[in-house]
Amino acid sequence: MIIATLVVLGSFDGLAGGQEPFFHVGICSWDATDILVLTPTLGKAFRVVETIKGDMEPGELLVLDELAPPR
Amino acid sequence: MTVFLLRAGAQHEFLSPQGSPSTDGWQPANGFGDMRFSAVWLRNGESFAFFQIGVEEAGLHDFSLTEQELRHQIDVGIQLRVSLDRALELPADSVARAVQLAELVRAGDFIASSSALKYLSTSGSAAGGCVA
Repeated sequence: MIIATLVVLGSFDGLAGGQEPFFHVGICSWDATDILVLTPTLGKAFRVVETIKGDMEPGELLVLDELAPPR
Repeated sequence: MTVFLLRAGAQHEFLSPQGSPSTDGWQPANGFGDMRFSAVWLRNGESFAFFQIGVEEAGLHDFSLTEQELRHQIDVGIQLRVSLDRALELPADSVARAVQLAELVRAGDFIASSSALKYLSTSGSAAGGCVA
C-alpha cells in the first residue's frame, strides 16, 4: 500500500511540472494559506466578501491581475 | 468568486512545483503558476472553473458542484490539513505523531492520506505498527 500510494503521489508531483493545468478543489484547499470569497470592484482590485481560511478581513482589497475581468 | 491563494514565501505541501517559492505577492495554490486554475466562479448557486476538455484550449466550464457542495469539500480539506499540521507539531519520533498521521492515512481522502504517509515514512520506529 505504501509503495502504491507513493507512486501515485509521485505522479501528482509531476503534474505541476509537465501536464496541462487543471483546478482541483481538494488540492487547492489543502495547499492554500488563504481561501477567500471575492467580488470585483470598479477598479482592478477585488474586495474580500468572506474569509474561509486565512486572516484577511472582509472589505480588504487585493489585486489579482490574472483574474481581473477584461475592461 | 472563491480563490485559493498561497501567501508570498509559503510552500506548497501537497504538490511540488518547480522552482523556489515566490516571495512576490499572492500565488495560486494550485502549483501551476496560473491564477485562473486556482479559482471557482459562482453564479446562482452553481460553480464554474477553468479546465481543459479534449484538445480545446482551457476555458471556464461548469464544475458540477453546487455552492454548498463546493463549500463542504473546502471545509473537509481545511479540517484534514489542520489535523496534519497538528500532527507535525509533535516531535518527529513520537508515537503520538505517528498515530495521528496513521489516522490521516486511513481518513479516506487521497490527498490527506498521501501527505500523511509521506511524513509517516520518515517517522522511524515510532511508525511501526501504526499503518496496518
